[in-house]
Amino acid sequence: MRVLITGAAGPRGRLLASRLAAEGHEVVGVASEPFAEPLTVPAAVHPIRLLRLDLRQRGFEDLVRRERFDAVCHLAVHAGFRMAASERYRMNMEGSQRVIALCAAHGVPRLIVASHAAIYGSLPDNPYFMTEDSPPRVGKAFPEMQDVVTADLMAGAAMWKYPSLSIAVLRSVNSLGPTSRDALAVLLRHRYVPTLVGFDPMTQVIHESDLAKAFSVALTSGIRGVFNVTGPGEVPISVIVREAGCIKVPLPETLLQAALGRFGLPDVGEGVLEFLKHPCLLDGSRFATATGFTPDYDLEATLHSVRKERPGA
Amino acid sequence: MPNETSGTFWDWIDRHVPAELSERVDRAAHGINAYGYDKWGFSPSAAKRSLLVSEFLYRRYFRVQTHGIERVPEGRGLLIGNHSAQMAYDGMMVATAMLLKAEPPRAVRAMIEKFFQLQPLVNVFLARNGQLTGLPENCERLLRADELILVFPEGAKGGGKVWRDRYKLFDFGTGFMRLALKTRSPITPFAFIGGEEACAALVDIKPLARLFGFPYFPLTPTLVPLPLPARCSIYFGEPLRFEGTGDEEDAEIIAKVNIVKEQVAALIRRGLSERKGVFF
Repeated sequence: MRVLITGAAGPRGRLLASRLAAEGHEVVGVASEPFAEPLTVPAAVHPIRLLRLDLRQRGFEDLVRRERFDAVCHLAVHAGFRMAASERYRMNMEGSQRVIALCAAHGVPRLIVASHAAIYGSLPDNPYFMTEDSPPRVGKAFPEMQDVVTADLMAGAAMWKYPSLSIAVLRSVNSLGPTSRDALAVLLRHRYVPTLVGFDPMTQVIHESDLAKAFSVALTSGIRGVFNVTGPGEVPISVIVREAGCIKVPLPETLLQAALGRFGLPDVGEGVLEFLKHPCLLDGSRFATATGFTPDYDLEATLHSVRKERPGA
Repeated sequence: MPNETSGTFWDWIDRHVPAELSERVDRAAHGINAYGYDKWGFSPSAAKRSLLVSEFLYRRYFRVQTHGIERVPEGRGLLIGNHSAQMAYDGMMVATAMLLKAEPPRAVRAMIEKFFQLQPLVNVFLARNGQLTGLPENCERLLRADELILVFPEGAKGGGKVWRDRYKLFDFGTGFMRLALKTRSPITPFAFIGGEEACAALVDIKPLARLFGFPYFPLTPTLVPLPLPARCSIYFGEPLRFEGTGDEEDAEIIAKVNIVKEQVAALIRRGLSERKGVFF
């Protein structure tokens, strides 16, 4: 299969590109940011090609038209806070809209879109283990995430608009691993991790390699629709912090609100703190049943993938 | 696997959990992962610590007597009873009875008010003890996983009963019946006797409740949330099984709910008539 990966400079993109190349696919990766290093997979039949291209530039359309891809994996959807809100908004909305339109216009038969569990939101009246039919309510407490919701729903709407394009949207839980840049993984890079006094929600994680596996499985299985992707289980967030070798710093809510944007914490709306308060748990059984997906990394291996040694421990 | 609260104080408490209690919690727990939690956040070690307190209240303080606990069927099911007492001592004692007196011991899940999910510490305490926000989705999922669910269908209003309303049943909600029908779960009615005297509420100070955002603000004889040592008893009735889909019109559901309500009322009448004294 000839596969195009957007957002290929990010850790998710790199892992997926390597995995697909090792499985014998011909992989082209594009990204608007520079590639840190070339990607070489010894077992690959076809070498991976990496191109620095903005999805909104003419060159990207030429690429899609010329190469006749069998599938596109759209990973250039950002749920983190590394970039300015306006830039993220533009990438998520305009980028997604363009990828969908170009796939439809140039006869790409298959599109996989990365989305995130966070779109369901962390709300006190969340049911445990939300299905794909639960409304994405993150905007209720955390409106800064609305562009991620919109990118997800745009892909969903495209299923009706372009019936010949087979689309799967994967809403994955936070990934952990040595390279992951998901919000939780970034938080665990610090030695001291803030938590909220009196709250300790159950949290789901997946190993970054298992997430790449999920995308590969989704690609080859031909599933259509919206799917939650979950990992090996759930534990209280305090356990995740402890197993990562971090030191928990429980703060009252008002203090942590004031600390946002300082001490290496992201400068985002205080709605982000809801994720430290209430559960946002997904039911991943639809995906598991449709594809037979099971994670390779168990809970312990997943949590320890971000472990650092404590001095004196 | 060390617990999140591993530290000398908690270790010290854990060493003081009697083997009998520890063994009963372990037999009731299932689906516990390598870190000591089930997927809902229930922690057997937290439950054992709670049982240290609730066992004292159950055996020594309220001297609870159960009648017909063997009627609670195995597998999925709903326990439906009267709210008797402010401060949820009634639910705590029913859950303790199911751990100490039922064979095999059962870890009951109570459907609690969303209000508690918002409270720091309280929400963690409740989750570690297996208690969850009372959402139909949660209840349905738990029933399909063959869990035993405790519901007080009078809701928050029933929990805020004042002295003049003692042992009266307020209107029952219908949600539990729809879920029972949908998941084909048996309903075991029960009556809780004694709570109204243990935690008598003289009046409900509504302006204060509104001020603090509480469901109710009772004025109790002890002035604090400490109950009086009234003798309590729990009467379990025969399990009821209803036929239907859960999608019926309200009138049909209400008729079935009223059958349950009558059973609870009958158990309350029996409990009150068999009671010899409030405190002894």
